[in-house]
Amino acid sequence: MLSYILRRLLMTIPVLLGITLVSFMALSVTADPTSAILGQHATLERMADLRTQLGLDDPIPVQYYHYLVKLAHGDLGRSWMTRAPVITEIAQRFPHTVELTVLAVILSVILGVAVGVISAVKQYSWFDNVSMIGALVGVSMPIFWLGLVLIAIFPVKLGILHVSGLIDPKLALTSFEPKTHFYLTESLVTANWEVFRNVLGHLVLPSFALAAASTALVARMTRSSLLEVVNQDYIRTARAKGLSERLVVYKHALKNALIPVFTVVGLQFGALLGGAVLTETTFSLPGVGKLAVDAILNGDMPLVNGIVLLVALAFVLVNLLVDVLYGWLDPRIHYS
Amino acid sequence: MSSEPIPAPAGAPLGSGAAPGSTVPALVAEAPEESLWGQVWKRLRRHRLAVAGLVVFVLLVTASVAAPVLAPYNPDANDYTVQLQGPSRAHWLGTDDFGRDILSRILWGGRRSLSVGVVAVAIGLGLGLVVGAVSGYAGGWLDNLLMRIMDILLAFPSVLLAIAVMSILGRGLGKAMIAIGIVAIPHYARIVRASILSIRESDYVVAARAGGASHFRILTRHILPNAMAPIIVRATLGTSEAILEAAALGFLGLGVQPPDAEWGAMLARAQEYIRVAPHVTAFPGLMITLTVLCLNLFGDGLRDALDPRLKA
Repeated sequence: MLSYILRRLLMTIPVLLGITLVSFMALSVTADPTSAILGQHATLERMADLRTQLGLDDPIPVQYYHYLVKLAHGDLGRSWMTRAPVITEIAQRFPHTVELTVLAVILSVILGVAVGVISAVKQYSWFDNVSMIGALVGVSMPIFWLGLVLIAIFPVKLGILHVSGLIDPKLALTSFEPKTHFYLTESLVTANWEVFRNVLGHLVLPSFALAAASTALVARMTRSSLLEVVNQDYIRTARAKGLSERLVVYKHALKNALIPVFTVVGLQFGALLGGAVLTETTFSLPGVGKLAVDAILNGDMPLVNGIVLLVALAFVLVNLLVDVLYGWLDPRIHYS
Repeated sequence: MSSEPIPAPAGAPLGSGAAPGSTVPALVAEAPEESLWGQVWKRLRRHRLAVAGLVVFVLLVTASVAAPVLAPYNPDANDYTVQLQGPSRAHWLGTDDFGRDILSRILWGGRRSLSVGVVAVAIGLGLGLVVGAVSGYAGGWLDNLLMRIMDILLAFPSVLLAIAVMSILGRGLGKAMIAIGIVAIPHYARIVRASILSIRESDYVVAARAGGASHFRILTRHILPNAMAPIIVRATLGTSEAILEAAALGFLGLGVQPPDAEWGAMLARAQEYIRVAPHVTAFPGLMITLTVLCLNLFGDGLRDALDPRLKA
C-alpha cells in the first residue's frame, strides 16, 4: 500500500511539471509584461532594457527554470488589474470556492444516495421512473441556466434566499470580523449563528445548482450498483438467514454498493471546480471561478494563469487522494 | 444475449453472417459489414427513448438550418416599442430587452450553438484519432510521451481548460470551437488507443501484416473500422458535452459576440433582466437542455445497440 502511494506520488510529478510547462508557455505567449508595465507610450529602447532586466531575452529553458524557482517560492507574479500578488488574490478567493464545492459534494452525496437507494429498492416504481428521468434531465441541464431558474423562482418570485453575493454587506460590517476567508466554517466554529445562517442562505441556491449534475450521476450509480450487489450470494444468504429486508439493504448491501459511488464522487470534484466558474458567475460569488472570468475579460494574464495552475494542482491532488482512499475502502483492490 | 426473434423479412439468408452451416457465402466481403449496421439499426429501433431523442434532435437541427425561412423576424432587428414582452400572438416566445423576437433568435442561435458542437467534436475527434492511432499502433516511447501529454490535458477541469485556451486565442465563435475541440482530444485519443491495443494482435491483423500490407493500410483498413463502435458512441455523447461547453463559454461572454444570437449568450443577456422578465431566461435554456437530453438519450441507446454485451 505504502509503495503504491509512493509510486502514485512519483507518477504525479511529470503531470505536475507538464501543467507548469503549459502554464509557462501560455504565459510567455500571451503576456508581454513590458507594455503592461511601461504603458503604451514607452520607447523601444526602454522596452528592450526592461526585457533584459526581466530575463525575457534568456533562452526559453532558462526562463522556464526561473519560472519554476519562483513558483516554488509561491511567487505567481502580480495581477495587472489590482497590482496585488496573484497568490494573495487567489488565497482570498479560493476558500469561498472550496466551501461552495464541499457543500455541493455533501448535497449531491446525501440526495444522490437517498434517491438511488429508494429507486433500487423500489425498482420500476413510479418513484424510480420519475427520479431516473429527473437524473437524465439533471445531467443535460447547463448549470448556469439551472442557477438562473432557481433565482427566478426563489428570490424573484417567492422573495426568499438571495440573488447574489456571499453575505449581507450590512452584516459583514457590523457583526463579523473574519480571521480567515472560510466564512461558513469560521462562523460555525465561533458559533456566530447570525452570520452562519446568512452565509448558508447565500450558498444554498448556488450549491444546489452546482450539485445537480453530480447528484444525478450519484443517484444513477447508487441505483445500478445496489441492484448489482443485491443479486450476489452473500445477500441471498443474509435473506435466507431471515434478516429483515431493512437490515439486508442498509447493513449488508449498501456498504459494498457505495464503493463505486465513492469513485464517482471523487471524480466529480474536478467537474465541480470547473462548474464553480459558472455558478459563481451566475450568483456573483466572490470565489476563484468568478475571479478567473473577470481576469480573462480584463486580459489579466498572470491572474488567469495562476488560477488555472492552482486549480489543476488541486484537481490532481484530489484525484490522488481518491485513488488512495479507494484502495483503503475496498481491500479487494490490490496495488501491485 | 440475443433472444431476439429471427426477423423473417430481413432479406437474403446470408445476411445472418456467421451461420454455422454457411461456407462459401460467409466469405463474401461485404455481407457481414452490411448486416452489422443492419443489426445495430434493428436493435436501436427497439430502444424507444433513443429513437425519440434522434427524431427530436433531427427536428431541432432542421429548424435551425431552416432558420432563414422559419424565423418570423430578423433576429437582430431592434424594436423598442416591444421590449421584454411575454409570449403573444405576434411574438410566440416574447421579446428581449432590445425588442428582438426571441423565437427568431433561438432559431438563428441554434445554428451557432449546434455548429459549435459539431465542429468542436470534429476537431477533437480528428486530432484524437491521429494521436490515439499513432500511440496505440506505434507503442514504445512515442506512446508513452503522447499519453503523458494527454494526462496533462486531462489534469484540468474541462470548462477551466477551455477558458484557459480562450484566454490565449481570444474571444469569438470560431475560437470557442477550437478551445472545446482541444479539450476533447484526450478522451478520443484514449478510446482509439485502447481499441487499437485490443485489436492489434488479433489474427486478421497478423494475417494482413503477413500479407505485406503497409502500416497505414493496416491501420485505416483493418484496425480503425473495427474500433469504430466506441468512437461513434463517444462522439455522440461528446457532441452534447460540446454544446453544453459552448453555451457556457457564450454565457461567460467568451464565445459569440453581440449582437449575434447564440443560446448561451442569450442567457447571459437575459440574466440582467431576470427580475423584470424572468421568461426571457426560460427558452434558450430549455433549448440547450432539450438538445443535450436528446443527444444523451440517443448516445445511450446507440451504445446498447452497438455493443449488446454492455447492456447489463
